[in-house]
Amino acid sequence: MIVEASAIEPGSHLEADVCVVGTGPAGLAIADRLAGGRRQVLVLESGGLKPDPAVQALYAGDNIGRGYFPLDACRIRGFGGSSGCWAGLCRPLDPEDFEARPYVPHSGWPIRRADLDAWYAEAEKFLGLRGPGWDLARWSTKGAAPWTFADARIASTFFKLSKPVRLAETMPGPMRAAENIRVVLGASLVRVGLAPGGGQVQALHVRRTRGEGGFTVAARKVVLACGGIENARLLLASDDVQRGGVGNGHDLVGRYFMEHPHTDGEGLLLGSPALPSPAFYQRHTRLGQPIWGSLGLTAEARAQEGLLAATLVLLPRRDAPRALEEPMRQVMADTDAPDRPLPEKGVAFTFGTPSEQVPDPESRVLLAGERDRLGVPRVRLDWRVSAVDQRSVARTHAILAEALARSGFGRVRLTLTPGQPFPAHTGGGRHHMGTTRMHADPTKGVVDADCRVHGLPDLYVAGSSVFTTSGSANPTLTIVALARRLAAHLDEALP
Amino acid sequence: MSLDRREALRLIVALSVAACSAPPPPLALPPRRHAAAARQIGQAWLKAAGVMTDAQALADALGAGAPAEPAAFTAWIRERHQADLAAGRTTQVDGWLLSLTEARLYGLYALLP
Repeated sequence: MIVEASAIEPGSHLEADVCVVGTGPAGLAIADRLAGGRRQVLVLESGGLKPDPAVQALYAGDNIGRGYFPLDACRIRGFGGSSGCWAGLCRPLDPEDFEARPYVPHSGWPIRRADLDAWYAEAEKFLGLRGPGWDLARWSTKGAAPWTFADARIASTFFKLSKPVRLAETMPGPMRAAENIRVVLGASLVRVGLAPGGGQVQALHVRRTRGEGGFTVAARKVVLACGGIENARLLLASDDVQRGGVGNGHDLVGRYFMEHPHTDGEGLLLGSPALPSPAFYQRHTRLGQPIWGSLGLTAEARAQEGLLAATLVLLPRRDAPRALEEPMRQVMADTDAPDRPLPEKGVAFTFGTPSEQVPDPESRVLLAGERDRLGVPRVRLDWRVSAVDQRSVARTHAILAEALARSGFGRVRLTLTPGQPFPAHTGGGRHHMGTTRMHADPTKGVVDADCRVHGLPDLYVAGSSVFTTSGSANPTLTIVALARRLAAHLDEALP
Repeated sequence: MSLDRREALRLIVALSVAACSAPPPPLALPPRRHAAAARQIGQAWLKAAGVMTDAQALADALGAGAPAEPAAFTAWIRERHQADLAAGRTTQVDGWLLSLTEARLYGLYALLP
């Protein structure tokens, strides 16, 4: 069922087996998996079924680091969460993204990609994806095939594109229908209350988002699924029992904030007459599933040069031709395809490059002195990028340029230089990761391999805040896979 | 790369001198379609890179043992071009990434009368 917080008597105390806070992709993936089961599940959502500027304003905060989106404009506070502004790009993290890499400080998840494979399959269904797994050969056709490079450092991969699923449209029905699920809209968690001594959660303190009053919740298992910024905010703000906030005994909550820096529009690929069809790297449909091919470096090539992950997609070029572009097109044709006529018009693409960041404890979510109208300290984001982040993208572009020229496919005009900062316009992808990172060691991570907050048997975190490293794949598919895995764990962990 | 007869002869002579080899036999190369483009890029590279402006020195850098037969010369250049890219021997002209071999070749085009 779905009810409004206004229907709950102020001062009342609710109980449940599982309480999920937040109805974004993570929270609803958990609720959906527990729907129809034997657990009584309470789901709290601060907003309603429709967007509400007054609720959204609770997300306002300060950016004190690298330029970033306004914090109330890069996530959605309402039923369905940020699925409401999701582009729908899905791809699992690569196996090596989970590994400890000697050239990436703080890398290494306590789980492996194989631990998520089955959950990725569930996540694909939840997000409305189709087709057989991720074997590139199955998604290649004669008319839309990945390029074959004369350079073993380059690999192709692809995104599956969700419609995208807008959970605010698809999930109210299932949530209403499930007898063991109760969704409360307009219910804002303001504090995670620990029992004296701090060894377990005693109660969640909830306020009506609109109007006065509130209620408390006691649940045998609590899951925070409020997003990569808000999860940290709520834990930090709940500091009445544990100094510094819940789960923050080692001063890790909010640290290691990661984005995917997007250097869109950098680099220019000028195709030679020998460039194969770029159809695979353009949005197209295969096996009934829209997909979008991309390029990157193999894990071996990255390890060899100590580079972070980066995904390159081909984008239409928007700027005017450069001074040397036409002569370059001509000499390139003479080199790469001397027997073919020079096309009247050149083929040119620029690169979109979402990329990985080194986890940095100084890149972080903090609390501001000001409080929102519910009394919760506002958030302050200090997003940082490192020289390694920047060098990795520039070097990845250069390696791809070498490979394209060597393969006779074209020449690349490089616009990023190793050692130089990202261009000022390099922003993020609204991907908020790492602020409650997963690690087996409580001194190095906030949650363990089961997404449980270290030292608290009944408090869990879902969402990309648990990512130990970010890879370069868009996070939603992994968020949902981890959420499904967590839901199964909760069901098994409860007696 | 395809060269016209006169330009190819100039290059082969330069390369042959560098190799202290005999003058090349007559060539029968296909017409080069875009000699002016090669010169333009060569000029930009020479100016930006501040590299040698002596044709003979550039020919020396390009390498010895250029075959005289036109198709073989084209293949010889392409082989060096690809080996450069595999080894990371690259340079840039206004950001365009080129192998050192092709940059030197275009530089020669710019220098030869």
